[in-house]
Amino acid sequence: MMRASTREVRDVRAAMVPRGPMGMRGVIEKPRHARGAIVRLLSYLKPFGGVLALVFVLIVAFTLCGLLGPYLMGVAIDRYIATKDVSGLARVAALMLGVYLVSNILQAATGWIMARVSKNALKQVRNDLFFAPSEPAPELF
Amino acid sequence: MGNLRRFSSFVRPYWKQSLASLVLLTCLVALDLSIPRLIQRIIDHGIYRHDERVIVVTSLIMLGISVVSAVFAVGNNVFSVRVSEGVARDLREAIFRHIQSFSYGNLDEQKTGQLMVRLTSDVNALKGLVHISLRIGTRSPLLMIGSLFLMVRTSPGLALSMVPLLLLTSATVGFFATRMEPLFRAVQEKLDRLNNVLQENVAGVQVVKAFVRADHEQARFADANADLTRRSIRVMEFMSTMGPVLTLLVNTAVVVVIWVGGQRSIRGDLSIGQIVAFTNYLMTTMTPLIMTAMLANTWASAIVSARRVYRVLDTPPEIRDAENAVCLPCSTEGRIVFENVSFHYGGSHDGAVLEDVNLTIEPGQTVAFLGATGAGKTTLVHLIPRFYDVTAGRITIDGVDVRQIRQDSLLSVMALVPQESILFSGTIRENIRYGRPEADDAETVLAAKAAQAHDFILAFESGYDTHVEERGVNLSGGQKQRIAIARALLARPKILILDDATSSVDVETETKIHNAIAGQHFARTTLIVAQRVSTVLKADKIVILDQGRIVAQGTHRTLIESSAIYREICESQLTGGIPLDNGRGREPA
Repeated sequence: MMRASTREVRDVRAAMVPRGPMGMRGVIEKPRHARGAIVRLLSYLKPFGGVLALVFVLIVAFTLCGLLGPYLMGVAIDRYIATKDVSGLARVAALMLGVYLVSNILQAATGWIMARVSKNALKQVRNDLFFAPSEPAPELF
Repeated sequence: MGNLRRFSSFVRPYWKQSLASLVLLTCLVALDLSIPRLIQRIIDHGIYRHDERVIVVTSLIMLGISVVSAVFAVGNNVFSVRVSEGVARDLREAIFRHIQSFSYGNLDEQKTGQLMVRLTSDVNALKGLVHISLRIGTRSPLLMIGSLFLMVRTSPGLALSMVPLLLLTSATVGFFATRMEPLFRAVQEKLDRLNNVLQENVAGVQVVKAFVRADHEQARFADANADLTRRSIRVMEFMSTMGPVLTLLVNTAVVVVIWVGGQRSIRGDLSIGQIVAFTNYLMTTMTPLIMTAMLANTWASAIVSARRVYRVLDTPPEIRDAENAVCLPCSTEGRIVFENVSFHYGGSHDGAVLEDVNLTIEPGQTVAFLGATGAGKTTLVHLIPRFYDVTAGRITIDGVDVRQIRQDSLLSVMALVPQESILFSGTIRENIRYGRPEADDAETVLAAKAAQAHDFILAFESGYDTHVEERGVNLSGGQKQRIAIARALLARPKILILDDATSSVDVETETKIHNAIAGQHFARTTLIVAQRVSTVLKADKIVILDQGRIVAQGTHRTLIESSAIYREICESQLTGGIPLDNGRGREPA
């Protein structure tokens, strides 16, 4: 999903370069005030503060779940397979399945929320660029 | 698909590097596949039998393999980048060269913006395909086949229990892969629409402001922007679903291995090391499968791009040299004759732009064309250098049909200054020398003086070395026109065509330019498309065009006697001071 979004940013950036009938492009500018630009870009995420906090919690949660899987695999091997405990093995296998399920559901939910946040923030960036042609803020890029 | 196959001809010259890249990739896969086997050895022979020597030796072997793998991976990447970048360069060059051969008619059909996209985004999509194919595309199937084979060898029974899950995963990958392309295409379409709105607004910002339509345009942009956002969210939601669903399938498979393999191990059929090795092979089988879903998009966009690139490459130039085309001799006089010439744009038969034009222009003459906007003046002069070909009749230069003359030879005897002066970024000197880069400074200055450009050029701090910005935005319209005229004069053409080339210059300067051109013999024959009578007073012949037909021709003196239209024009302009056709017509006439 990251690939899709960065690609789009690049396309929009290309689109923002005015192409006249001659369509010649000048030298590509380097970002001059990198830190200021990032702070300005981050300001676009401000309206989503609450949602982003939730996303952070979700990321922590699914990462922990993801780590729990291999740990349970170790438990299954060392504690149940090594001791030939079939019912214990069944319990751990079921638990693993549950942990993985929760992890992936949380991950999908994070992706869905982030889709809305990032694309709406991008929409705002594009609108601001278009509606304020007197200050097109090229330093953003 | 057919276009992709044709595209492969661009990869063929790089077959050695491609082969090297693929050989390295195959070695890499073989090494990748040996790792789980070694882990199994460490567990079963080292850990469980408490044999430290096996652990140390096997670990060192694994370390060695990792180092060699890294070297192979770097090599594979180096070769694949060389191939893909080389292919992209060749493709860009092929498209660019082909566009150079386009005539005006071709360019009327294919818009500048589209051609720019062909050269940039579309080439990049194809480059991406080459790169990915050499890096992952072939690795995935190799890794999958190898892993499957080793899974069966490690434990045939366990491998059999994996079959339903592997099939389910394949089906899921297929499900997602086939639905991805339309989603991405929709985003691309919405992005194109946004680009269009943006391009129109940037190009036409004066009009938008002048007609106070900013609100309307903002609404259009906001609408296109919201549309794009909605579509992009759909794509991201899709990707956010696909990732976890496929990961869940892999995770489930791991759980099944633990459950089924664990039971077998408890029965003593399988060692712990084998379970771990099996899990690793399972991963290397499923990961490439998932990668296929990701690659589907690269494929889909490459197919679309290949189609669009070949649409450009397959467009034949409308105007080409005839098979037995001749060169004009050095002694060309520049006698131009129009014989019953008619012309329609795009070969259509309604709305003729020129109708049955007969005209003789003698060498050394200055001939001016007057007429209202849309009378056909610009079209008439565009037919001489074959920007378009006549629909009927013929045009000859010194008795040779222009269609029988080689284009480079034809263009070398003439210079045209178009209505809109086009300058390139570079210095003023470079711009004037564009048509004759070998000209020396004295000649350059002479041409600039004749074009009445010398004085204002020297007024700049850097004089002739002043940098001209893209499209000459740092110069006034009149300054640009005069530099464009100097550029044409420096080429010392036999035939000079000034297509309303002094429209932004005041009358006095304009007269000086025409006097200088006539007095210093910059050209043998001069054709002037004009809006102002003052421009044409001294011409040897004035041709009055009306709705594509010549309605009168002669000198100022004879026309004022014989032509009512000319008299009317003169009266309105010379006495009332109202310019012909309400000012300076911009559209091609």
